[in-house]
Amino acid sequence: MSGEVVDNTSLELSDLINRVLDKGAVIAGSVTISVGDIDLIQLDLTVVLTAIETVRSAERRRRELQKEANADVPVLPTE
Amino acid sequence: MPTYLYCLRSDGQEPPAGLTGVDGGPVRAIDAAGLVAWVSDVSDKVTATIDRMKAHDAVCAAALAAGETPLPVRFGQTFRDDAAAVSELESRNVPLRTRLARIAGCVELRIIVTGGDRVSDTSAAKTRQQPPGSAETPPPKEDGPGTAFLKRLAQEGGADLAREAACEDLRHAVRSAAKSMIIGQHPCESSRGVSFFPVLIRRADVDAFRSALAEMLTFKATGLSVLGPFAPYSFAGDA
Repeated sequence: MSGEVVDNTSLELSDLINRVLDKGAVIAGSVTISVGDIDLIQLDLTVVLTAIETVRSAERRRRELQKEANADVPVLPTE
Repeated sequence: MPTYLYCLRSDGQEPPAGLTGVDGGPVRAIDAAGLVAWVSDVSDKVTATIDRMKAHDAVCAAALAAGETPLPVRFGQTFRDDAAAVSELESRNVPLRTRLARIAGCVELRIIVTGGDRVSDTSAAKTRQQPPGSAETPPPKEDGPGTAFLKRLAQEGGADLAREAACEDLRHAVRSAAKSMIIGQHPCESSRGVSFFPVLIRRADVDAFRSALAEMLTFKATGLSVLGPFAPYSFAGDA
C-alpha cells in the first residue's frame, strides 16, 4: 500500500469517541455510557478524583512516617 | 437546572449567537475566577450518545474557531447549577490556568494508523501469522470450527501488533521529519481497532505539518489518516 491520507466517516466516528470520552480536562461530574436504552456503565468522576486524592494522601502520609522514623527502626502499622 | 461544561478559556470570548450544545441547549459563557467557561443547561441525566458526543465536540470546535485555544473538557461533566460549576473551577484555578498556558496557540492533530503491511522488519511483525497454505500453517479446510475461531483470534491479534508496531515506527519518523513543529506528542495508543497518536502543534504550522507528513509518506508505506485540527483534548490533562 502506498502512503495515503484518507478520510473515512467510520474512522472519524471512532476517533470522536476516543477523543471526547477518554481525553479532555476532568473537573467533576458523572457520565453514563449506554447503548440504545440500556445503561452500561455509570462513571462517577468525582469518586475517581476522590479516590486518587485518597491514594495520594496515603502516600504522602507514608513518606512522612518514613522520614520521621529512624532508618534503623521499622515503621509498624498502628492499630 | 444542571449545568453542562464544554470548555474553558482565558480570553473572555463569548459563544457565537445561536450556538447550541448537548440536547440543543443554547451555549452561554459564565465567569469563574477569571476563566470563562462555555456551558449549557441540560436535563438531570446526560448519557453518552453519538449525537451528544458530536454536539460536545462541535461546541469545542466552535470555541477553537472563536479565538484563543480553549481547554476542552471531557464529555459528560455536569454540575448542580452554575454556582456549583464555578465553585469547582475556582478550586482548580491554578492547574487549569497551567494547562491553558501549555496549549496556548496550539491545536491537536491525530495521526491514525489503519494498516501495518510494511512492518515485516520489526519484531512485532514476526508474530504475524504465515499466509494460509505455507509450510507453518495447515490448510484451513482441515480445521474444525473451534480451531478456526482460535486461529482467527490469533490472526487478529497479530494484525493488532503489526499495526501498533507500524504506529510507533511512524511516530518516530514523524518526530524526526517535523521536530521543530511538534510542541507535544504522546505515545501510540490502540483502541477500537485503530492505533493512533496525537501531536500538539502551533496553529500556524498545521499546513506545513501536513505537507511534511505527505512528503514523508512518499517513502513510508503505511495506511493512515490525519484528523484535525481539534481543540487539544489529549493535552488537556486532568485538573
